[in-house]
Amino acid sequence: VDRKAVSVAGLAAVALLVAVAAFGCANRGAVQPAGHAPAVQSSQGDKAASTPTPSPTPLDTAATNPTDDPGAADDSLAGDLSDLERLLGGINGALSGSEAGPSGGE
Amino acid sequence: MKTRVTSLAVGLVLGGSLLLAVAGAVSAVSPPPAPAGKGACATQATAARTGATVDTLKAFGDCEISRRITTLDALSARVTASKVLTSAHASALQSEIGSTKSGLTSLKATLDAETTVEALKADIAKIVTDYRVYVLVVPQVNLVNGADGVMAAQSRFATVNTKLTAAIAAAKAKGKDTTAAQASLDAMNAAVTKAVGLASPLPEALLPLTPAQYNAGTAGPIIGNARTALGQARDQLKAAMAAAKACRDALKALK
Repeated sequence: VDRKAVSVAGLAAVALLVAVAAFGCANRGAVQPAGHAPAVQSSQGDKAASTPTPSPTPLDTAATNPTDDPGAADDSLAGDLSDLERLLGGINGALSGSEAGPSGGE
Repeated sequence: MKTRVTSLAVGLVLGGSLLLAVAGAVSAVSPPPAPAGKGACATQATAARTGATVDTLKAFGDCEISRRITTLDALSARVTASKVLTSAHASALQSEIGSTKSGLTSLKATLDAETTVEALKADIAKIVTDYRVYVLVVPQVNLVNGADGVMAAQSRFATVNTKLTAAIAAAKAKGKDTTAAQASLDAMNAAVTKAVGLASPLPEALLPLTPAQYNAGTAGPIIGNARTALGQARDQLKAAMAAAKACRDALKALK
């Protein structure tokens, strides 16, 4: 009975691994645009994703070429607006820090 | 089977222990809070209040000076780390922090050399009245930093303005109605102008303030007004952010 249970458990584990692998492959295929071969190795892709280096965006081009699509402003403005959010956070911190008197004394 | 179950249990215990050990290590690296708060000298204060002797007063005075120096070091680090302070303002603040720190260090030497309770009480009073670390220096550093933050935001909004103006021009060239986008952009620029008007005079008003002015009652209202103005400037910047987003959305709708 014990041996049977062990082999059933082993089979279940193998099946689970196969299912996880299949699911992973399916997901990878789903995010890849149809007919679009990966242009970078995965390590380069990770690096690009974690480094928010501003690259030319539709609106940057629009700044020099006013005939471009104005609706693409989103891409370029996102960085500026998030910088501004950070600055606002800093100003909020400065305001609350300026009231250190009550907790620090005189 | 029994062996496997035992192995599983041992594995779980070991894994759990490892997790706990890692969690412990993480909390161990976090530095303890600096003894700068009001309660840092509670024990010494109680001892001095219960029996005001040369020893208890010295311990209390030393503790109060020490926590102020901790605070000043933290302020100095904040000034150094700030990406928005102008070099002139950073330099003025570091100079004030430095002179306050050296004054307190000198006072500590005086205090430690005292031999009478009366002299020690007078020295302890000076820790507050001669330096005003918490009600003057702390707000000065924070409010000047915040005001310079508003000025830094102005230059970032100028970039946003350039991009949105170009995008509006492009849409106009295609025959689109850009009235709404332009109105939002105008609102953004108006709010930024108001914010800058509120924040730009603050450093010049705050930096010259002295403990003597605080003791005379003239510095407190200036600090209070500066705090109010900076809060209003922050609100204007929030409004400018909302207007910038509205402009972007209006342009997107023209697609």
